[in-house]
Amino acid sequence: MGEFDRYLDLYLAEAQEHLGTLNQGLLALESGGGGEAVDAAFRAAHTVKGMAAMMGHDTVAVVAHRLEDRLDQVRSGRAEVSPELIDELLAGVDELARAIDQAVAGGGDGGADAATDASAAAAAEEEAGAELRIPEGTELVVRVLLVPDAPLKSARAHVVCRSAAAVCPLLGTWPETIEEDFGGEFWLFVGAGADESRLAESIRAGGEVALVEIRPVEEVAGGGGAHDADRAGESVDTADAEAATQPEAPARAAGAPESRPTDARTGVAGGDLRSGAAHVRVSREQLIDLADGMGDLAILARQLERAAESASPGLRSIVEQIGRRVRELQGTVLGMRMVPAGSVFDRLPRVVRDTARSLGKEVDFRLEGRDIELDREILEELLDAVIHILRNAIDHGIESRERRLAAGKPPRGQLVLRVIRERSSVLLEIEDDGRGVDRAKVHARARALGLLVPPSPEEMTDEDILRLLSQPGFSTAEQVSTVSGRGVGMDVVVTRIRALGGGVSLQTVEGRGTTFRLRMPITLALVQALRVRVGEEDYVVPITHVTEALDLGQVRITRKAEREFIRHRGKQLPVVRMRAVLGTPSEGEEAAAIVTELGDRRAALAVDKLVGREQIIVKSFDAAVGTLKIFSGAALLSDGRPALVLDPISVL
Amino acid sequence: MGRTVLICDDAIFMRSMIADILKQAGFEVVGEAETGAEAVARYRELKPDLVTMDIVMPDMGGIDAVRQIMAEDPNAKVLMCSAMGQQALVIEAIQAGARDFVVKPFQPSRVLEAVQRVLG
Repeated sequence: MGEFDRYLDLYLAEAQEHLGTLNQGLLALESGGGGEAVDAAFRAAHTVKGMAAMMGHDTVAVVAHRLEDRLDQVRSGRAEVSPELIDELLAGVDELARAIDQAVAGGGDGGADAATDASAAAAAEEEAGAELRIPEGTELVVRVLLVPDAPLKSARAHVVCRSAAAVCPLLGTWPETIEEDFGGEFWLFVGAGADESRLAESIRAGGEVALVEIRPVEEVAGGGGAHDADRAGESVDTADAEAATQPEAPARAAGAPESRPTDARTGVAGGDLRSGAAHVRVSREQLIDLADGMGDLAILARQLERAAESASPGLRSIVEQIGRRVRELQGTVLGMRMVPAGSVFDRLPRVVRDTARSLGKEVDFRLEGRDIELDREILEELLDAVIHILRNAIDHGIESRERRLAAGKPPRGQLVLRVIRERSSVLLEIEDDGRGVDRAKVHARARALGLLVPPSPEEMTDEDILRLLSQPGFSTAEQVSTVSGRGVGMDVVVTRIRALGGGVSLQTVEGRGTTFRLRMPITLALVQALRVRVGEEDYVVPITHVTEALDLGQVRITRKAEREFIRHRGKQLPVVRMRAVLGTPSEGEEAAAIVTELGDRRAALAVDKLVGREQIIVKSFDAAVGTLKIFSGAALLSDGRPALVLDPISVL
Repeated sequence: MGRTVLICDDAIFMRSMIADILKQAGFEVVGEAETGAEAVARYRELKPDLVTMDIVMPDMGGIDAVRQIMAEDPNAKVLMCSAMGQQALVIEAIQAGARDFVVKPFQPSRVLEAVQRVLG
């Protein structure tokens, strides 16, 4: 791993952002967004082009350039906005995304496309290099990038220049005077007679150098494209051989330095990394690691506090301070994982549009509450589930234009995703105004599969429908379409949401539409839970699944047929004895019960006793084959012991 | 390695810290100086392989000391020790002949890398 990889991460992260901007801009344009939308998309394409050129990713630069050109035509009114044009531009964005992936995965890019489109490369270069002043007699142009966290970059550049000057005739630099706030990239202009490998070596000897790239002057000054490929390839030298970009293809679209000052900051040399910046980028893995580590520390701190209860006041006070500080830090770290829903869900409008177009449906999609913050991990995990529900809605829910008009509905289907912040959770509502779930069909299908159903379709509740739809292999679509028939099924969606400590509910009215509600914890790492004992073991139940806790000593359990009930709030509540479910016999009567509900289905789960409330850290859980479905995960308790997480809804 | 070093800094704390880092890397600290003038005099007397030089010192500053030392011995290898925000002074020192620089607070690895570059 070299310093170069750090640039790559930054580059990739920024490029993804710009791709998002492009997608949004184009969708806004399609729905009449006009000037601002095009401008934003145009700028994004332009920036990606500059960044790619700097990274030596020729194909990316060329694709971005084409996109930019086309957007410029739209901007100036030379191209007319039509669904076909948007299709074409979106395809261009996809091509750009693929090119970036390939370039990053391959550590460089082959530039094959670039060679076939030398004019675009040349244009990109010409534009960028228009005002570059190269001193007379320059033979080699050397691009030097300092590592992003090098202190005093301008002083470092002076050391590097002096080191280079010792082995070659150094005619000048760009920028001519390297100012204090320069971004970390500079160019050296070298006269005749320099030994390239010695030159590269001496530049590196200057210290804190991430990248050295030596090219013959005519490649930078000329039109690009007509140069000797071998030469350009062999003199590329990066911080680490394994991180090196692939040898460049002839038509390098690398711009000359004129366009650098801005690009160097926004693109690679790391505006975000400059001292004084308000934000820094952190890798996701590190953040997860940090959050997990803080969680473990918080648990250790609690244990420490307990162990120190009988210690001297001095020691106890220190231990308490440590505990407080650890918990504060844990809050800070968890806060760092919070991102606005939009940062992940902003790709949904594109998904909806593509799905709708491929199915010949007309759909207006709205995303509300994109500023509501959620744990990034939860958001990412939810994305597939939400996409699945949206696709289902477009495929099976929303009717064709003709049918809608016949039903007296507006011609375009309305699809909304609302992100709503609740007190201790976040609610995601996915609502369509389509035909609703066909109860008769679901009923017939369930019967055919031998599933337990109420006697008639009319008696099926929304919860019954959700339960049936979430059965593996249950699909009422007569033909599995390429859209919603692909990927995960509703069963996987529901299981995943439960595993994250969330819940799903459904509301559907035939002819009127369907609404899915996903209630999620705000953060994955810490979940409020109730700790209960059954037999010898303690288990935890996320608070989101618990409606109420009951003292069984105060109520009478009645028997009807084979089932047990208690009377609660004027209703009969079925009792499920967890000892039986978990297969752990125990002495005496159960002392408590927790009430859980899913829609209007409720049950009281009898447990030996309630131990108390806990903040648990849910760890990922790969259930062994044959494990009871009631376990949705594993968690660490505050005394450091592991416990299984119960999903009470699974017994309903 | 047994290479010799002269450490110039007006703070004892900084001197001992630099000394610790360099001793661990096998250097022999042959002298210390608290002012620029003292640095010049001790260099003349000790001819060390390496000099670490603070920028701001009483009496004569580090940059002037570098100029004098370089005037007397163009092969002198001086490593500047600077604080963040002294960029212009560091550049001046480099133009005066200092080989490289490190920035406070010191990270031992960065100091040793710089030393390696200076002694090349």
